Amino acid sequence: MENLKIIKDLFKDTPDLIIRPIKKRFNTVYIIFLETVSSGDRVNSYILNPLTLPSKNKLSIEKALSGPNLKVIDINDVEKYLCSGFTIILDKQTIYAVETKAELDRGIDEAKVEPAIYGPKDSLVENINKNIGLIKRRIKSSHLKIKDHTLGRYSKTSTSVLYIDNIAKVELVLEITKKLDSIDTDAITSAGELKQYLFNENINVFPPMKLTERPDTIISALLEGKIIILVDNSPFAIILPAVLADFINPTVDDYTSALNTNYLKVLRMICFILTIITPAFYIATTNYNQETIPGLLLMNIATQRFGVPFPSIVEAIIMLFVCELLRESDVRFASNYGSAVSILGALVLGESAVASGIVSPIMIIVIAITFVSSLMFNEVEINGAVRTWRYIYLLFASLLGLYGLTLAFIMMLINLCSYKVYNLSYMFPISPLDFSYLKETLLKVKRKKQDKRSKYLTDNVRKQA
Amino acid sequence: MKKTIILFACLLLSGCYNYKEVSDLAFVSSLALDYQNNNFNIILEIEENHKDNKYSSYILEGTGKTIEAAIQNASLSFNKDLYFINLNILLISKEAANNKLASILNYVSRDNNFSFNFNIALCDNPKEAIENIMQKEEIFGKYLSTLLKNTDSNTINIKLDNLLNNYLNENYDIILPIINIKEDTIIIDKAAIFKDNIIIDTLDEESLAIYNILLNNHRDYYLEIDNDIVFKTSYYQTSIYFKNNTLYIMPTLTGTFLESISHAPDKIVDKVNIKFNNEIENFINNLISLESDPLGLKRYTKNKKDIKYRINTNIILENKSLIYKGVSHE
Repeated sequence: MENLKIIKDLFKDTPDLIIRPIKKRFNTVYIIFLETVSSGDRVNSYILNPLTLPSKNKLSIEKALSGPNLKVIDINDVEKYLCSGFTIILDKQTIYAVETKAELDRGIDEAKVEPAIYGPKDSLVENINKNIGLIKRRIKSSHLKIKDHTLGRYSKTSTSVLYIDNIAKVELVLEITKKLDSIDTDAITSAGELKQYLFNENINVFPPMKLTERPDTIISALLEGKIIILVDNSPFAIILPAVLADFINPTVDDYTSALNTNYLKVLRMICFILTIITPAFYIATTNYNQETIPGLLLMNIATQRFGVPFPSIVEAIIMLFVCELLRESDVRFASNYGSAVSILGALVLGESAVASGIVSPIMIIVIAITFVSSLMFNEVEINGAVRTWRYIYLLFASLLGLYGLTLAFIMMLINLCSYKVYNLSYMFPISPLDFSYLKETLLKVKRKKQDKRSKYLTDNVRKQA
Repeated sequence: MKKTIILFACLLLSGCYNYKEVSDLAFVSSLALDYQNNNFNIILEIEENHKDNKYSSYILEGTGKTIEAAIQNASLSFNKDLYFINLNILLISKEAANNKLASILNYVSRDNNFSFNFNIALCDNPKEAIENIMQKEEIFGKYLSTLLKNTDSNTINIKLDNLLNNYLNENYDIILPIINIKEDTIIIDKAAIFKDNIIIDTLDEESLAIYNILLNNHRDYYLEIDNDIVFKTSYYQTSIYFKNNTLYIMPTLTGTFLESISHAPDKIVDKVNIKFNNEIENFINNLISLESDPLGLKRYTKNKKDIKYRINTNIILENKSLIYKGVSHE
């Protein structure tokens, strides 16, 4: 039994490998599976029972075996199938693989990172097949194509590229496929890890692709001509390409009327600006351009700052640092400790900080506006980009006042306009101006008027009659 | 790379110039200027806000050959930067107005530490005036700024930008309100009119009311006619135009009588019309005799000579409201 020897050598020191010989007429059949990833019940009902029942004794092995997924495989694929929860049956020189995967993943849960009030509640899970199922449930068309890749020398992670063949641009699909094929690494364990391999031409803090856990977001991206990458063991899908407008305007806006949604869209855009420039604007106006502040307010600020030993820039940096600290500890800490962090945070940022003279009350208001505005964006990467630019603005404002703030704004504008994600400008749909995408992201019009896809994303622009 | 470094160095190395912490600023609410014996004497009212939300102020005084020198002299023993952007009022003594108005206006309009929206008034005893208000635990600058805005009184409200506009425009002669203290109370019931930047006369409250009407500065106007009947305007609009060597001044006043007029209101309206016409005529004649033109009538006449004036007033009675009818049983 050469094949058995090869498998034994391959899985040496693997205590969960079970090899069970069964006498079948004049021959011995070997049943091999990894008990940690296979379901004992399925092995029993799909393999052991049929092969050991006297009634099925006369049938050939292939006919005797039950189970929905039965394959004849090569010895080179044995490792992959065994690790994926298949049971291998060695019958002389023939190798059968029967799917007996154990249910190691959780059930479909509610979206936690991107909740929606009126949208569907389901979200992706760690099982790639379930995720594809959630998408296929919504797009019942053979035009939805899936290209499978196996990534990672050791992890052998199943990765699928999804696109709609008559909407997505072929060049983009080929480029992504080429990128995936070129990845040669030990392991890919999540979508977050994979996306770092997909885009490295440009060093920019703004993220070039978006992660989502919502199947409905995936569907609307697919229908726009974008490409989705699903990674096994990751409850997030990668949407690419992604531009700034995608981060400011979530898909959940589709579930409410245009008039009401536009208010929120404008609010989000204001918050995006506010969260970046508020501390810098405060520093610039109070330290350099006091004439821009109404007299009474300026006097109040002066009174509140009386007794604070630090310059306002140091005060701002201390507060921003403490807030980042609290946010990070809140994210990392187990939820049981959440309330303790909140109470501590309230103490640090509240009256105690003011009473001890470390910061002024107005600075707490400034930082509160900054952080509350940033909570509008649930994407960690965009928050990271916003944080970096906040410090750049702060630096320029602390050196040059409102002039510095303007310089930093011009720098950011140049940076965003020159940033290209898969040949798409990051400021799209403003630059280049594209009304069809603008009507779906930055502003919203009636559903009936959203009749075209963007020509920058697809050649098939007609969406509805 | 070199170019980038030079560009960034130029942009950033000039940083921190003009850096001031807001808590290091002293907010000047009033600035009084006097000119005596070739020296400027200044009084600064510094406003302070306390943590219990109460405001107070104190005075700094200084003397110098120039305004800047006087301000520096005043701040010699002071540990904060003087901040004039919040200045509410600039008081100028008559002496300083007659001799150094050009220097004063030059200084406050060129120094970027001053804004353009503070009031300007004449006052010969500013220290007494400021202390009078300070005793009432109020900020003089703010108090006066509110007083000048008050539409119930017929004062004139002149700000730096108005004054500069009139000062630099050859069609206008400037006019400034005068602050007086009467029986421990500050009143602004007069204004000085200038001819070639020298004070030549003062206008009383009645004349100021006419001045406001002719320039459409909306203030309440009460016209008292015989039998103690008072006509109160709620709205007025004056149109002035020049045609056939005649300057037409056509004010239209809409208002009501404060007392209920039960019989022949038309006759009383005619009386108001005549009286109001006379008031305007007297005011214009007074300006002609003084050869001063604070109204800027030269804009219309373009320096033509032997001009005739025609004043045509129009009084409109407001419609009576339902409540008025109900109360007066008419």
